[in-house]
Amino acid sequence: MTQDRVPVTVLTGFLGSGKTTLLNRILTENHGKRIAVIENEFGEIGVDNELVVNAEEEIFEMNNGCICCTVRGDLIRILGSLMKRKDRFDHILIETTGLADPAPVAQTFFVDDEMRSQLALDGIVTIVDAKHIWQHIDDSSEAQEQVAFADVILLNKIDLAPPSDVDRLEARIRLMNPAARIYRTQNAAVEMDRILNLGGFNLDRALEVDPMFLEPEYPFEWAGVYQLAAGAHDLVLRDGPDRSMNAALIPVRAASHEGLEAVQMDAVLTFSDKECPVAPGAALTPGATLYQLDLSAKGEKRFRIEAPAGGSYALFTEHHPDEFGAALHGSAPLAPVISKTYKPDHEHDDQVSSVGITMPGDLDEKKLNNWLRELLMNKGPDIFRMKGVLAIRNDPRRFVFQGVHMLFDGQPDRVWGTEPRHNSLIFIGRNLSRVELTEGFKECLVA
Amino acid sequence: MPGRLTLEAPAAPGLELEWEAGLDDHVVRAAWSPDGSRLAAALIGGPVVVFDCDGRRLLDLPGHEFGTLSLSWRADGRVLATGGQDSRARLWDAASGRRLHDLESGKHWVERVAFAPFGDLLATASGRALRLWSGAGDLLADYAPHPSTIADVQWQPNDLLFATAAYGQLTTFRPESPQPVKRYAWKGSILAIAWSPDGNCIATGNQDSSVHFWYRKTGRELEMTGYPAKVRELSWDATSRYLATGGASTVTVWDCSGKGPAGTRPIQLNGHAGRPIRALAFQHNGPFLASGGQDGRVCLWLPDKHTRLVRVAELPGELTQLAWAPDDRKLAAASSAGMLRVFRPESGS
Repeated sequence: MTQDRVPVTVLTGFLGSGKTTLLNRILTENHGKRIAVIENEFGEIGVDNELVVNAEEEIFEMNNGCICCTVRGDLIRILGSLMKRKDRFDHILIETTGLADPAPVAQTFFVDDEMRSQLALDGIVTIVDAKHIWQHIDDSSEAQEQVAFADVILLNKIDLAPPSDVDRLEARIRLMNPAARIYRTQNAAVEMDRILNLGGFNLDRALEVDPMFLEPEYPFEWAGVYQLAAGAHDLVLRDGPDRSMNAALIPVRAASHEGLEAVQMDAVLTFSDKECPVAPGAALTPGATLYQLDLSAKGEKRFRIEAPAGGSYALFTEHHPDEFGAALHGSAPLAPVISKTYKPDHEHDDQVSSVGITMPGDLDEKKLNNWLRELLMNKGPDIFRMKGVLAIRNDPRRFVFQGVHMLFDGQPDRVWGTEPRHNSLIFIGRNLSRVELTEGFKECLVA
Repeated sequence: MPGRLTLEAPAAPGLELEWEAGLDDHVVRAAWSPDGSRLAAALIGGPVVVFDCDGRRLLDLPGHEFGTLSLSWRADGRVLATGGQDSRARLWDAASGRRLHDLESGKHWVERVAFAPFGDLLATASGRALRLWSGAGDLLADYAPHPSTIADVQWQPNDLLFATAAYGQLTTFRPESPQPVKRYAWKGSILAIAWSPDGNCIATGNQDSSVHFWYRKTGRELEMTGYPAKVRELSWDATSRYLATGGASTVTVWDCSGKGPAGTRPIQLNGHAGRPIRALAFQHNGPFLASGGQDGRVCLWLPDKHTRLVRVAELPGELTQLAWAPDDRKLAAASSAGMLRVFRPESGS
């Protein structure tokens, strides 16, 4: 029996982010689909629909105490019953409560045999209140997990936040979850095919979204090369998201990309030094010193920059200058001759990060299995999601997989055909080691 | 698919069909009246149909809007109780089909209605709410809410004592007291309860792919783990010696005599071509065990030391329910495709 599994979309987001608006939209949209909705106990779907079932979230831990095996008992019961109906559904939507950890609901579709045989997790859609998420994103592990688990993120209520804030938010979220597709919305208005029937996971599209996600990470986010006359200049910053920021000023030989690249490694080393704290009004001198700018005061903050001689200088900053409205002033504002944005590692900032791996070559299935088994056993609780497309030796088809914590679901799909065989995968989670993961994966290639 | 193990279903003579009825919807419950004169079948879409023992369709009850989930006959066979997704329990006159009472059982789906084996008491479970009613529709007790949704309610076969299953606990109650008789704490989700006919042991099937035994007198507990899937199918034989369990494509029968089942090798029965077991039913007094699978097959076994498959039958769709008539002479089997068949296995044994 190969029955098509019914796709399930999980909708997460904090209270007030727009989940109910989105649900009502999905139910009233003329998409010709028969959709069943499992609404959370506080949900208030306005649409009259007999296929809305209200559920009280019941998280079942297993007797063996493994966190990766927690499931939503209420969903198993309700969906088990719904799937017996003659009038089958084309799609199932599950709304979680605001503070829900997405793991148990996602795991339900991997752990329970009955659910697994009839339903397939199509995607996790997280809706974010673009104005109010700042209150949570630093401190709330729930908010971080909801972002990290998502396949699609809607930045909602963008009409209520200045565009520059939304840009910053998108950059921030992109760091936590580079594999998600991000859309900006007002009143949760989004085309249905962007949130329903994602067909599981498409890494190619993730790579399109963020070509940087496989790049190395840097301890800084931005560098700009300025042509400075000898003497004093001002680095002016406005209020931003952080109370301090690291920066370094390094002389370069030429105001060119090559010139910047030549000092990049010096900057990395400088950024690994102990910070030298400086308050507004203090001076930064060019060289191998890492300054920690104190930005805790309200309003405009000025730091002096002393150029001992005229020439090119690269300013490396921990965050993008736009986040602080930062600019360099001589007698007038100065623009950098060239600038570059880096993929930051942000480990001190967000615990949630991702590791992308892309490598040509064929995999030894046995080695891969052993590595994955070991990895998931030891690191399962820290790995929120993983997804990928793999080339397995002697198999003409692509092997696609996704996982939640320790749980793994994969199968061969189309043949590679003319596309070059390669492996792309991504891990999203806490305390992930890029080096360990990359080296471990490399060992699985056919020698 | 290459490499996939497909087990040939073993051959055996066919079960003799007595009658059948097409109901055109997934049968979620099938139950004989206590005197064996009628058979009720509840459909997932809501309707409940009552047949006489020869297959004449006596009643078509509307059941519950959106879906019926449970069914129970009163001991005298005159009242039928149903529970459904409309968060109601209902009492029906089993002769006329008239709706007698609508019981406010709670705010959630009524997963279980269970009449006591004798007398006039009905327990209902809706979400975390457990209530006790008389057959006249009077609310006798509204118990303190359970810590999580009640997954099963089962009366002891020969006593006015019932057990409830939920996440985290198995609890027993007597009708006369609002307090539980005993709460058996267990960290996990209990899905199904089976009392041994002698009342000494309560077996449960669990979400974490295990079967748990609680011995009421000694307080001894026992757990059998390692099933491939969650266990919802349980059936004791008449002597309280054998417990048949599902949770796999193989029927596992534990011998609970002596010091067993701890440390013993269970009897394993393979009759469903590698597809999951969906229903199990030992005879009320006889030795035969019926198993039903997702493959739509019904297998009749004599599980002892010379275990053998004695009869088989097949239904369209997946098998969902098996019920022996009280005199063990008829076996009702129902399927997801809405087929209800009544067999007469006697001639096979």
